[in-house]
Amino acid sequence: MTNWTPEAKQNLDEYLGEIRALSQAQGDDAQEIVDDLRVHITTETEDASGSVVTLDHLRRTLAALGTPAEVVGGSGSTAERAPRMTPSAQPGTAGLASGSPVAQGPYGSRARTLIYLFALGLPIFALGFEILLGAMAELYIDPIPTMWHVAAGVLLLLSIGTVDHFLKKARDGHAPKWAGWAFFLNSYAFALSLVYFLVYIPILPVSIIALIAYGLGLMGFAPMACMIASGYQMKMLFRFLPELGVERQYATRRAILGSALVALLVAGYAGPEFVGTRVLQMTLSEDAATRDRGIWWIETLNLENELLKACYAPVVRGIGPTRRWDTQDIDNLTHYRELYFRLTGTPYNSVPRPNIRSTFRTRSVDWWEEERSADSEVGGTAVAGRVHGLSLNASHLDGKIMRLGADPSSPALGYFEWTIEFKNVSDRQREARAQIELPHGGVASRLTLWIDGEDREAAFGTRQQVREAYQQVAVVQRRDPALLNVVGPDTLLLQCFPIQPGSTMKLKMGITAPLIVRDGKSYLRMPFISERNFTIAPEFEHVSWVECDPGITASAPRMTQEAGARGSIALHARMKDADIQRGDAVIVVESGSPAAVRYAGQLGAIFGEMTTQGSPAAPSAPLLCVVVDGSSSKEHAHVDWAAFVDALPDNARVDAVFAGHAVEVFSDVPIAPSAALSDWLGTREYRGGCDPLPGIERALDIVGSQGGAILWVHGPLPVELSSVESLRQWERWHSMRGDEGALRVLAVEAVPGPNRALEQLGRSAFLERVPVLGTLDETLRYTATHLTGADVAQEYAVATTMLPGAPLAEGLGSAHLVRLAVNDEVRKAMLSHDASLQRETATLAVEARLVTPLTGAVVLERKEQYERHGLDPTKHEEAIPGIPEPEEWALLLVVLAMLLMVAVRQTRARMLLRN
Amino acid sequence: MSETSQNFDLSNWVTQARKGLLELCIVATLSKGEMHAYDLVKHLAGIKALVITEGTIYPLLSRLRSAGLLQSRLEESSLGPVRKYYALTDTGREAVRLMGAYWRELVEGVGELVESEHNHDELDTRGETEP
Repeated sequence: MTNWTPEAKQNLDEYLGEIRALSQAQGDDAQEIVDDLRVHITTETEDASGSVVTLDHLRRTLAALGTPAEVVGGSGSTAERAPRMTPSAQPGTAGLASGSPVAQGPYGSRARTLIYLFALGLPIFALGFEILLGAMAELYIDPIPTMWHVAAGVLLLLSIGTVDHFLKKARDGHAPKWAGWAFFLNSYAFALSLVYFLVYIPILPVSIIALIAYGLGLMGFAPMACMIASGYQMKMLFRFLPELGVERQYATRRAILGSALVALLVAGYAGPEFVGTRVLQMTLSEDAATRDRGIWWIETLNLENELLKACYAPVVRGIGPTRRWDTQDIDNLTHYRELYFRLTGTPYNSVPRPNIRSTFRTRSVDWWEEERSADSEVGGTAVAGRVHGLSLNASHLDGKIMRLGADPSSPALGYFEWTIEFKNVSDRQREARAQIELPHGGVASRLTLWIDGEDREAAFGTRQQVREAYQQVAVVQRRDPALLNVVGPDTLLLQCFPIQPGSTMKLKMGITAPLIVRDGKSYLRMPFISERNFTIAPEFEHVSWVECDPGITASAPRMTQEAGARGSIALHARMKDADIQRGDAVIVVESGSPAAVRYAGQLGAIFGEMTTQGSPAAPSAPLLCVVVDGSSSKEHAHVDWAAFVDALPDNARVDAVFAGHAVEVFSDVPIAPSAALSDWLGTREYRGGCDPLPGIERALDIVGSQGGAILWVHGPLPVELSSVESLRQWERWHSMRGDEGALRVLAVEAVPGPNRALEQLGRSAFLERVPVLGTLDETLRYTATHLTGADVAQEYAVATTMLPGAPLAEGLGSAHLVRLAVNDEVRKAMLSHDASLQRETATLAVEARLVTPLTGAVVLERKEQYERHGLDPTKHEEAIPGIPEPEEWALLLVVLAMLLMVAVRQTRARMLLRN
Repeated sequence: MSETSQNFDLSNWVTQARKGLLELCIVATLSKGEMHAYDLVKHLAGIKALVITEGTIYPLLSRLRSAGLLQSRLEESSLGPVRKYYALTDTGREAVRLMGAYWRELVEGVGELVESEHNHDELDTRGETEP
């Protein structure tokens, strides 16, 4: 059973009604004609339509039957449909029906020519021209910034061409197959060209100027031409519905599908950026509710990458080819960097710089991006974000472990020379910046920079002196300096600039460090990079060789042992950057039971001594408060708190503060530490990045007035989230009472990384960094056992002090001992808050050529530069004698062995000749 | 192109020439036997040179039936509407014969004229003249 739509029925009745009237007027049997026609129409339409006859089906049938006038007018009326023959056409052939019919009709050859010229020819020419020469991209802005834009454009042109083919077929009376897809393609072409037209509106004036001035800029007009052409094709498609054999509803559905595809493409391409920009702006709002909503959207939509992009200076505005980069306000940068840490728990510069490139060509938008992203923090005091094209090219860590006395139990010192090479593959000058974490108690004692293949030693001066010199030479004169400063406890900031495009820069740092004595063993941890603005490839390895003096028995979990000369040993390793940061990247020296001994040393006119005590003063801690950073680090979350609690003495009173997004307190009062404490710490929600300072303040409230120890388990804190002033107030209060030692904050680094709070608290009397030697759990257990006074029998302390003159000892030990002693003097001067003492000590530290909280090191290019800044560069002979690289001494050994062999052979030969 | 050909409307001439021809085509087709109206229409519409719209045939069929040249009969169909069949009457058959004879005479006579004109044009093109 076939149903007719009301429109179709009505149209049929109207059609037959007209025929009836005309037939009657001509005196024909109107009823018979109408009846016959009705049967014909019904048969044909229902055969073609299936179950429902629509108006379109009917129109197709009626188109074949002719208009009422044609039908009733008989053969005479067919003249209206007969072709107008040209004289060259042959009568009596098919040419009568199909020859040259439509030059001026719907979708005639004139319209098609225009489409071919402007909607196909022009865009193809402009696209090809732009891809090959990139003229517009060079002049102003890249109109086709990605391959996706090219692909979309090519598909658009193919759509216009295909629709043209369908329309030509329909116009010539051939119903093409798959005609429904013509509506889809046409709609896609129209919608996409409309989008491009809107996006290109801002560049149209430039295109007009470029066209007039240079004859270029056709690309700007291409979307408009395509939009007009596809709009016209759309009109024609709906006009030729019967010829195409497509019903209107079906065609409309296909057209909607084409537009939807474009909407989807646009949303997929520009959506995240568009939404990201809006959401990020919400987080800047002064209204707390709006800010919270913005943060909620970032987490919900997983817009961390967009947030990371916002942490860098350039910010994207606009979409598609007209997108551009603006430099944003520094306050916004700080805000986004804080927010990134709060949401992810990781510093923004600890992950690779986000890819905000959007072009597949070398210049244009990339070039703009480069210009915009020019490192605005050159010569600053922060490591800041990663820069393009700068990487660590080589890292050689040569160390030596020396024992102060002949006794195997005498203390040992370590000295490292770390040679680092940076490589810049970008087309801009770059500054390398990095925070270097030293071995516990270490001090930088040498800085060498290679300029034009020559090694130049650093000059040492006050912090202000060396920074001014660096900034003047690096930032203003753009010459070759390097700067090394202290930024926090055992933490240095290294800067060198400029690393020229396509070249490398090599420098060397000397680091003196004491070995940490624990349980009859001495430990020396490797220095490492804790924050950087350059890339370290995942496969990159630091090569380390540590030579031990003869008689020293040493081992290292991550290093292999090699036999050296005269019974000495060397430890060798190639370590990934992540591995060298681990707590177990440590050298362990067998020490035996120490005795109370004094060792003296000389460095020029400076003398110092080191003393060991078999049983140091027990650092009693009647009250211990554990402050745990609530950041989302697995190291925090996976601490074996049960083992930690077990290691605590039975009589210890322990409270715990969880410094998460809110501060939570666990008070184990009045009983001894229990499993409940470890359960409580283990079940906290470690999420995002948290500010530990409110937690420390809370802990100070708990233990502050009574005195005790605060054990602060922390991770990186790359931003200053709150002030340390309240901690300083406690410090001043204890200082006034004269019981500075009563309050201690023991900082245990669970995850290596920059920590702004530690940097600020560096000069605090009550802050102590607990060296992480081994795993975090081992360090926490050790701390729980020893630093609460539970078990101090196995520990002994090493102290260095300055001597007023040459000691009467028979022999003087290593100059490194004196360096450590001077470093210790600086620390004491810093805590004294006595300006004159600090000035005196700074002079001493400059004389000892050390990088301390009062002094720094700078390498400049020329002598005049040193003189201008009142600096005296270290002469080669004054520099610490370098450690021969293993390759060198191995070569020397080989050469000696060969010489020996030659000598032996010659001797034998002479003896044979004599015989 | 001559001025005459520019002013000459070929399509109008074709229409005039086709007048009456369509009726001959109908009866000639039916001279082979009875035929369903719909099929007859489709058959004639398929002859390209006639350049007809399908609808124009029905009034002609009606007129030819009224003139007594055709007769029709209806037949029920299980698949659709009642089917109408057309066939020639005796008068129709006679008319076919007379019309056919006239058509052949017309074609022969007019054909000779057209052929002779065509040959003349060809000779002119070669630069020859008839004796």
